[in-house]
Amino acid sequence: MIGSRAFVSQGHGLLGTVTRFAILATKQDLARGTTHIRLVLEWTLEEQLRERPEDALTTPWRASFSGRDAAGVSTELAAVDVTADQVRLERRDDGTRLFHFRTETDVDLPSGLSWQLEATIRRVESIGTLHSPVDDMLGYADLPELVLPARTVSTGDAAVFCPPVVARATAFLVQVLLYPPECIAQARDQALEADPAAQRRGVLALPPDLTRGTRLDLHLEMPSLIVTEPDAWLSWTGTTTASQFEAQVPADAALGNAIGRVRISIAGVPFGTASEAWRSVLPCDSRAATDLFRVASTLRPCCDCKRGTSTLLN
Amino acid sequence: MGLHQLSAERFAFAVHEQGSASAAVHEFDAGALRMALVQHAEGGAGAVSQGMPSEVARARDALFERMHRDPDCGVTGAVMSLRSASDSWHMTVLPKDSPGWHVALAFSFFPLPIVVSEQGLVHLSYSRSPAAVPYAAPGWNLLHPAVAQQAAAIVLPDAHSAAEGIARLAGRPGLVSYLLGMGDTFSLSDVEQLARTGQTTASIVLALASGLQGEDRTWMYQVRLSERALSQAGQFALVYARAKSHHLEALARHPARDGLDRHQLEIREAHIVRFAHHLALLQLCAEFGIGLWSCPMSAAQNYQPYAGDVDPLASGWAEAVPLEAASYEKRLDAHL
Repeated sequence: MIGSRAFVSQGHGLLGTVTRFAILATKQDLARGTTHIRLVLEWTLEEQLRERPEDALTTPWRASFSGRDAAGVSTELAAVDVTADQVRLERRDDGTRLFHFRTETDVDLPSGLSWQLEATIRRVESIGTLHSPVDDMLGYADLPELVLPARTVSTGDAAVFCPPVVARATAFLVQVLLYPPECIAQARDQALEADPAAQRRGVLALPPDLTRGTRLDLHLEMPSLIVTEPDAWLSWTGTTTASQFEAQVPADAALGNAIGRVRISIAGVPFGTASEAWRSVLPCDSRAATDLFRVASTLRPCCDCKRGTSTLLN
Repeated sequence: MGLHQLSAERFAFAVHEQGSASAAVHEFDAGALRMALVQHAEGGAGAVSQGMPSEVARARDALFERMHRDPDCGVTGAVMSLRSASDSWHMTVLPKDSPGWHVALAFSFFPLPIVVSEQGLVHLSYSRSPAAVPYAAPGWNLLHPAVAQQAAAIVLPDAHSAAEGIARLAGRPGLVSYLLGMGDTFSLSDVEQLARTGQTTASIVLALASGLQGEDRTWMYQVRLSERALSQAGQFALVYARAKSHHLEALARHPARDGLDRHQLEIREAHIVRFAHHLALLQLCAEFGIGLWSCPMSAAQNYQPYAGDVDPLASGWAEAVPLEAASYEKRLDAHL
């Protein structure tokens, strides 16, 4: 998602383009009354002149993130320097290069207000030096007005439980539990009863206006694993309920990362999806442990969902 | 006075009285408007009406009547924003078959510095004699409609219509001179650096530029930071970037002429980028109380800067944005 007014000025033999400015995730902190937002900003610089090839990399670039409130007051929320070793380089047939810049940052904003998020991009070299030309490199991007919901109390939570580590040629349970927030202990006990190795891997607040009897469809995706029955559904009852999926690990499953997704729809409307990978070195003191790999599943809602009030993604 | 082209055939003529918060706007249709250029035997040429809609006559008469009632009143500035057939936004070409050509001639009862060529009516934004005091004898200035509208939106956000905004813009001749200016004025980094060093004295840049025939058109610009600007310098980059982004979008929205080749499109794009910077700097100055001046006289080929140039009150400097009054007066008091 990029506002229509994004630009990177041209100059120094470089043509700049903002390719992405988006909110990756938001999470409400009920205790602090704030919303935690993860932002991503990506831009490219395309070499126009081959005789100044190092220009884009000689100094860091600084991405500054600001929030403007309804009164028009801007506050700088974060500033991140992107250095040469963080830039992805693409060499093209004509000998020129394309530099891909990317940075992610986390900011916190008070909930219950609307904000205009803006980002500026500058060469650090340009800050503090005189430039008579107008083209000191500078970029800008904004996002549509972001309305952060006021502090709300969730109707219920959805959580995924599964073992953090599994071995090849075994099967394990992926459990999705729905429960009122105050019943987390009961939900955990229920998950452990079914699988003592289960751990909670992600929590999602359900919409506060979710009425009892609403159907929630669940779909589990675990590439490289075998899930014989990936679809299930639950009805929101206001109490703890669970659904279980059996996942089998092939004997020749690759070691290392695994990505799991649980897609959730509420009353037929897509509400959440998951896409997380963990890269961890496993403690291993036995031969069996060398064949282990990690599985992680969590829940996150999709970008076009307007129902979720505690978490949004795009 | 302001003359603004609303659509292919629709125009608006607006007169703004000094001190008034609004302008009287007369809209008219140029469909039946026909003017012709007639060469005089004794030399020169004049515009002759061959058909004029009553609205145009009324618009002109409204101005004449006002001047008749008060012989002491005069026109202090005039801006036409008519759609140009030229690729350069510094040069306006109005072909004879365009309604703008007839409208421009119909209102040429007020000086309209133009060259009539085979192309049509040609107006160079910076064609006025640079040796003269820039706005002592005002005539029509033709500005690109998008530039005029954007500039009016910055300094006159309360204008009710584009025509009114442009008429009121004409009442700020220093601002019009800034928009006519050549070369690259101060950059954001320049202004930030001045703020970083706490410089509140005037700073000048010589903006290198050349005319259509390659002649030297170096233009001088001056900024002077206010105390408020110094205290809020940390916001310059964001405000400038936001403004430039807005102006890039608004200028690019103005439709390109049909049939432009790649080179012409590049010229157009370069002008959009340049004017977006010009306007963003104007907005930065207006928002933070930074005084901004340009010096049209500096474009004269034999112009020699002298020490007095740094004084914005000296003749030759046209004020585009006033230095924040309180701060400036305080410094003047301290100086005296």
